[in-house]
Amino acid sequence: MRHPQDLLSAYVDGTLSAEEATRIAAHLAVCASCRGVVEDLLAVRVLLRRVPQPQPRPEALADTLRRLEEKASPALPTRRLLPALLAASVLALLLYLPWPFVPPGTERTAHLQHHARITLTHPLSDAVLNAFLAVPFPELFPEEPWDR
Amino acid sequence: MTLEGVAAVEHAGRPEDAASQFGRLLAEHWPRAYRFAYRLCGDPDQAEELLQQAAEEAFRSFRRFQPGTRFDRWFLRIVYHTFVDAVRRTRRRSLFSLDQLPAGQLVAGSWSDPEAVVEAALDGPVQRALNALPPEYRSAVVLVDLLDYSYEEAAEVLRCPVGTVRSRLHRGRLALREWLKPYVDALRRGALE
Repeated sequence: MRHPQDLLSAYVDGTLSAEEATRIAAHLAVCASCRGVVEDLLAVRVLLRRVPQPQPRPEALADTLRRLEEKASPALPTRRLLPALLAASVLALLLYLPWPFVPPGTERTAHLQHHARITLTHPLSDAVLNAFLAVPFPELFPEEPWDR
Repeated sequence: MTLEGVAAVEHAGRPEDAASQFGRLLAEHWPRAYRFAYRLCGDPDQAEELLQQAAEEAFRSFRRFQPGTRFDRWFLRIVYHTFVDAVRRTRRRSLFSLDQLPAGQLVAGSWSDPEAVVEAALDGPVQRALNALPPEYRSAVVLVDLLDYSYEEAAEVLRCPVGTVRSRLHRGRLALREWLKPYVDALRRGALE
């Protein structure tokens, strides 16, 4: 039998099947080299189990939980708000710039720009929005059968 | 309820929110997780830092934690992966030299308990030898020999087959046998009894 090196730790731990363990035991009975390895492995295992168990600082858990909580609900969630603020700023800027796509000076353009400014600062419900838009754009809101 | 407070609060059987449940489970397994982190890092400050990072990652992923499964294995798996990532990033792994072992310095202090003297004296050499192992061997040795996990449990933490744990554990122990040879020999002679 070849030296069953890879199985010797598992033999020491008693995790081999009965059949494997019997085979290893038979080999150990005639192989001083593998017996030496087994004794060394047992000694290593004893050494590892004799070192003191390190204890955490008493405050370590509380510190960790506190930091977790701080990260979960930051006082100033600037990272989340930043894209929205940026988008709102760009939109606001566009609204005050000369409108490139609509001929300026018309009543409809002025009304639309005015409405866009208001909705930017005061989000309205659909109903209010529709009522507001129905004034300059009556063709967008045709009379429905149930209005008659 | 704050996360900080849940560790001290009795679980009264009422439905818990995720944050409370996470805090309670983390508190329950904190000492074991610390021992794992400490033996992986070999340093108390680094162990706390590792646990902090792992706790943040675990909290973010907590919705994927399945109730009924073992929280300690799930969390230790995150600790291990966080550790391996950190090692890869910083390339902190240093080559081990036998010169680092303070061989023969087994007598220390004037403590009244001889057993405690031996144990404390062993701690430095054992930790330095562990530090020299590749992380995959170190984690297998720490889980099985220091935290008393079965091969199956260690395989669950490390997300690898049981045969891989067996192989890593064996190779790790063989390396430790060489690096801790003075202590192994002393133990075999009965000098550390």
